[in-house]
Amino acid sequence: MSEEPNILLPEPGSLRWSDPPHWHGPITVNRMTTAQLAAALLLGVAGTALFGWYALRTLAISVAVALLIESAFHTLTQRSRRWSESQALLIGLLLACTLPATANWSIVVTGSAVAVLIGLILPGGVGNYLWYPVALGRIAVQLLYGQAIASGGWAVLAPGRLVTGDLGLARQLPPLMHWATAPLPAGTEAWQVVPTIEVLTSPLPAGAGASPAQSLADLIANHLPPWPDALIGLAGGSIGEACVLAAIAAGLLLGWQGLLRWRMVAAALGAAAVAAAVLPVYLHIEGHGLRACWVPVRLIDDGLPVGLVYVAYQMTAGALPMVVLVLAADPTSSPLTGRGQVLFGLVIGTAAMLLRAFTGLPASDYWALLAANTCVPVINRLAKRPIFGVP
Amino acid sequence: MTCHLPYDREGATIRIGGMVRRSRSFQGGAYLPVDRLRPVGEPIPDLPPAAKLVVPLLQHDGEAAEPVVEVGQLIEAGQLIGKATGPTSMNVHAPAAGTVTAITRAATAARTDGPAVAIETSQDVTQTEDKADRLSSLAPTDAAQLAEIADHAGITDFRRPGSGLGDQLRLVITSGVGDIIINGLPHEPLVTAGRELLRQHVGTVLATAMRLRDALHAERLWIAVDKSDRNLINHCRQAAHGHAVRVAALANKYPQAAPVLLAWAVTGRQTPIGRQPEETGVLVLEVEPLLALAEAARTHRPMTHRVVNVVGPAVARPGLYRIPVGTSFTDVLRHAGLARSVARIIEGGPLTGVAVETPDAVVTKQTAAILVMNHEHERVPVPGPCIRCGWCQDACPVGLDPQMLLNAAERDDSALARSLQPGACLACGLCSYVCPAELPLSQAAIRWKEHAAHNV
Repeated sequence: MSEEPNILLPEPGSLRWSDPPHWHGPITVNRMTTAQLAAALLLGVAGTALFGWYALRTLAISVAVALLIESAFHTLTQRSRRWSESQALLIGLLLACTLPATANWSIVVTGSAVAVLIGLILPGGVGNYLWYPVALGRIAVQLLYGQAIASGGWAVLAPGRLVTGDLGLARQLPPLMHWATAPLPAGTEAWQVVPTIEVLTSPLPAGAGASPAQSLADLIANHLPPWPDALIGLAGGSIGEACVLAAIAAGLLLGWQGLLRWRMVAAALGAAAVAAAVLPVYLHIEGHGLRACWVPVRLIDDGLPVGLVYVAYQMTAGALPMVVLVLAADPTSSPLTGRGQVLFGLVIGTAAMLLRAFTGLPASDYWALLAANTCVPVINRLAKRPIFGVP
Repeated sequence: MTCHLPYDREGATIRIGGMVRRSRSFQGGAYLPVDRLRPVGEPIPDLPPAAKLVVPLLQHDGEAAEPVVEVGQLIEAGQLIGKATGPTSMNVHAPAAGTVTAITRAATAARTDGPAVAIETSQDVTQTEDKADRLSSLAPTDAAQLAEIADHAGITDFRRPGSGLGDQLRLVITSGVGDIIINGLPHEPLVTAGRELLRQHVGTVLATAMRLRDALHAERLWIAVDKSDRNLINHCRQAAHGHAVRVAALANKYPQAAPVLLAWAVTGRQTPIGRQPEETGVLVLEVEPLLALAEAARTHRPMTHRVVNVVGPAVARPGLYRIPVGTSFTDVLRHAGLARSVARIIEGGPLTGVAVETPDAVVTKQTAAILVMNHEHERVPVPGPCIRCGWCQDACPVGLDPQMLLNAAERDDSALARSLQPGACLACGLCSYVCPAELPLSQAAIRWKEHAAHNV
């Protein structure tokens, strides 16, 4: 019509042909990778705030090694890959998040190299690995270095020294003092702390006459950091593990982008909560040795919600929040369908708590993720939907 | 903030009287972006017949009609110009008065070259109704007669591969029918003509459907509508009041409007692979054929127009238009105006529509929408390696494994493909839509579906 004279009607032969569908959904691999990177960065930023330049150093070493190995591999095999297929940056970042900020550089290099070389490149890159490379790298350094990983101790920068402080100038937090209110001696820039998971996985010292509930109350009151501290990250831990709030924010971001399914998270955390409530707590009773106590199942004892609080600590301790909310969102190493993802979550939550209760294995949450990864082929077969119209 | 991949929420609510019962929906599917609807004019504006119409003699999958007019012959609007030659053939009528200029070939979205009748339209020829009088002797009360009317009027049922409404009715006359479902849900985003016609003509639609129900001795009559469309639900409830017609409010999860999924959601009857819901006693009817049947039974006018949603970023005046069959896409665009230069023209919706190769292609009775894409919005998908996210499997409304079907296509492994039951594929395109690696999953699935159909 004459209203739009400048736009010509299409000429024959000028039209592009394409197969349906002509629309594409909003999420591409590129965007997925970007979302995962943003989630990893959230953890890294929280870690940097809590642990200062030590965390930055660990992150930088890990990322550099990962990128170097990947680009060396691409040069050797003369492949050019799209940015979205390059997972090394993401894996480098996340691997560093699983390590203490003070980890020795050789540990970081080994972890990153194992993750990228054995975890990612050897199986054939993204889409082909069974075990999530980050968890694989973390477990590898655990096996190779053992307790040496945390030889620098667990410290958190003191108030007023966040981000810029020196984690090396740490001092033991005085007993019954709080991170925020303890007076900071001169020359001290950080407080040595005991992460929640360390307390929870070691036997409870209990008085000979104390009831299990009393022992648990004692544990919560005197040995564990306040729960809000554990959430913020003041209780210490690895770079990405310490701040549970950062993990929750990362999980929300991944969920928003469709990578993380809330049903998987609910299944994992639900299973973990039930397992934590049901599994025994080991009491170390003077003169009597170790004794298993099936106490947490009584969530409320003598009117005190000690069981509930204990379960809440278990849920936020260690790497569980990061594993469930960030690492388990990896598309390749998680099951294909929504149903499968629920089973996957159940395996992670249950395995993590079983390992904590019965083995005391360090880095048990990564073991739990690897165990769940191992189950994925079976889960995929179990969770197949019936085909519509097949009698 | 919305979730990008809404996973299936099962259980549509069906209200019967005051009772509410949970009905089966289907697993998978996705809530696709819904276009904010501009108010639809009433009546839907007519696209005036272009100076030249090229009416295809084959507008569905079957045999072409045989031309019954000669070059130079003056014809009237609604006159038969192509006569059905067999059971898979359908009558074709002139949408406007004019002179036959050629028995020629025409491109449509479905085929690049097919027989057609070219008409130079004129306004001079006085329109008379007498040509259609042969229908008036029919008292359309029994089903066979209604089917015959549908045949005479050349009414298609809009399915792809399309067949005639008459064929569909005859199928259920012999096998019997328990439920009749009127589909008031959009087939896919932007394919909304049926829903809007239902909104405007719910009385006529219901009257025709009730006549069919009585003629076919069906037990139940349903109207399936989008449960979020309160306005339409109330409209349908008011019209259905006192007529034993049930309104099924279903979640507008794509592809809920696929006949097999509609039959399943409303009646709980599953259609076996390769069959039609009609074979399980569920007759699924679209709104426009019902209106065409009502028109044919009342005024003897054949089906010569189609209500088409002309949309897309390149269209200046998007909206529903009543377009004479045989109008070229160029003429449609001339009328609707262009806001940007055209890169692609797609007949149908954005998920299952067919890209036309030439703008000279013409509108047929199968044209539900015309989607016009401009150059700026073009993005050619770049397939990458599969990352095994499983979104295709999750989205598939029938539970197929599209990624394995693509694997089978790449390896040309028909034994593997057969074991994956590709015959169940609805060709909805959702697997390709959700695939973050932009793999051609639906092409592979459709290829194996056709392969399965040919090797039964």
